[in-house]
Amino acid sequence: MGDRVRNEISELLPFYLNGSLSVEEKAKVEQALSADTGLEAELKLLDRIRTSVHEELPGNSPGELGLARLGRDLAQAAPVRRPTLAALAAAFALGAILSGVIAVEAMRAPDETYRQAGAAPADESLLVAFRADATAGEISDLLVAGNYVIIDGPSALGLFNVAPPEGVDPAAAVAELAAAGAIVESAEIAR
Amino acid sequence: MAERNNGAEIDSLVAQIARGDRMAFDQLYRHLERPLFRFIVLRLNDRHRSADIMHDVFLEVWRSAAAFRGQSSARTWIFAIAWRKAMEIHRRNDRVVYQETLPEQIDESTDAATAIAQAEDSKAVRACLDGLSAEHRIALELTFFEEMSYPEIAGVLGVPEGTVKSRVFHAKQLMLRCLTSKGATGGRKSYG
Repeated sequence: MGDRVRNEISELLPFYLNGSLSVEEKAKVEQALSADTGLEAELKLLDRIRTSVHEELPGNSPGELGLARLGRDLAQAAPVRRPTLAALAAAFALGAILSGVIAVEAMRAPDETYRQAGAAPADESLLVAFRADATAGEISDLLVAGNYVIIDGPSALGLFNVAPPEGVDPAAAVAELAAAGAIVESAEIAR
Repeated sequence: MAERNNGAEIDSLVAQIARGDRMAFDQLYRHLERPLFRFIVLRLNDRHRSADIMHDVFLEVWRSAAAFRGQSSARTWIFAIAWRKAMEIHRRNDRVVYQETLPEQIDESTDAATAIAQAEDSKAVRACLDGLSAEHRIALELTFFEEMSYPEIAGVLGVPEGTVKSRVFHAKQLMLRCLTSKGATGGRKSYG
């Protein structure tokens, strides 16, 4: 067996030992092992190293206290739900409507209804997900009524980055949007 | 210890978390908390900071489970998050990574028989493991404790598969050299 092939087999030995090789690789290693006692010796050494790694104490991990700490934070960190096709369609429709709004507003007046993604962001913005069954009209009415400005979105997950009205506490804005539970699935302060 | 065959269970738990299942999250935490903590401590060597990183990892899993598309196993995905976060801290601290001089071929100065005899002494093996750089130690951890395949380890560490194989190979060479040296000197020689 040449040096190159031997080194190749030698590199596979640790993964032969942990049982993660493909059937072909495993057969190749076994064939080499039967022909080379040096590789057998390497395998023994690796097995001893493996045992030592397993014997090593994991140390004091946070355990249940860590889970309790997470429990407090999870309440404020809503999971990002995978958007349904309906939600994506609604987001797309809203995006199309807003694109129209941007075009009209850009021609008409300098007052701000939509701040483009490249523009300077508000001090604190919100991440908002709308319900899959909310219509583009309902979403639009909600945002216009509350003087919210879409900064960016929808993201690949269907999330919109929304600026609260000037002078409004972001936490209060989150509460206001969350109260529109029939339209808004989740709202949180963007970090 | 992580077992290769609990990968499907972790995949399933992450799928449930993607639907907002808090009980699945608790189960996942209990499955992965200890190995993840071990893994992060190996990189940072700081238990308090490692606990904070692990907290962030689980929060990210909770927030992003729905975005996980299954390009890798969920376990690989979670360890990769942990690795990325630990490396961010590591880089921020601007720590210097000690890189051993690695033999490309079997080192002529090593004596496999002596090394294997020394390997019967678990203290000697432990001392040699402690002397490895974090990169090599982590490669051995993922191979022998997590029992990951080399493509999975490559996914966690964000390096090519060939790099993983050669890193584990070099770790073994360094262990061989260290154990030979301990055998030749009665186990008193330090190794770094």
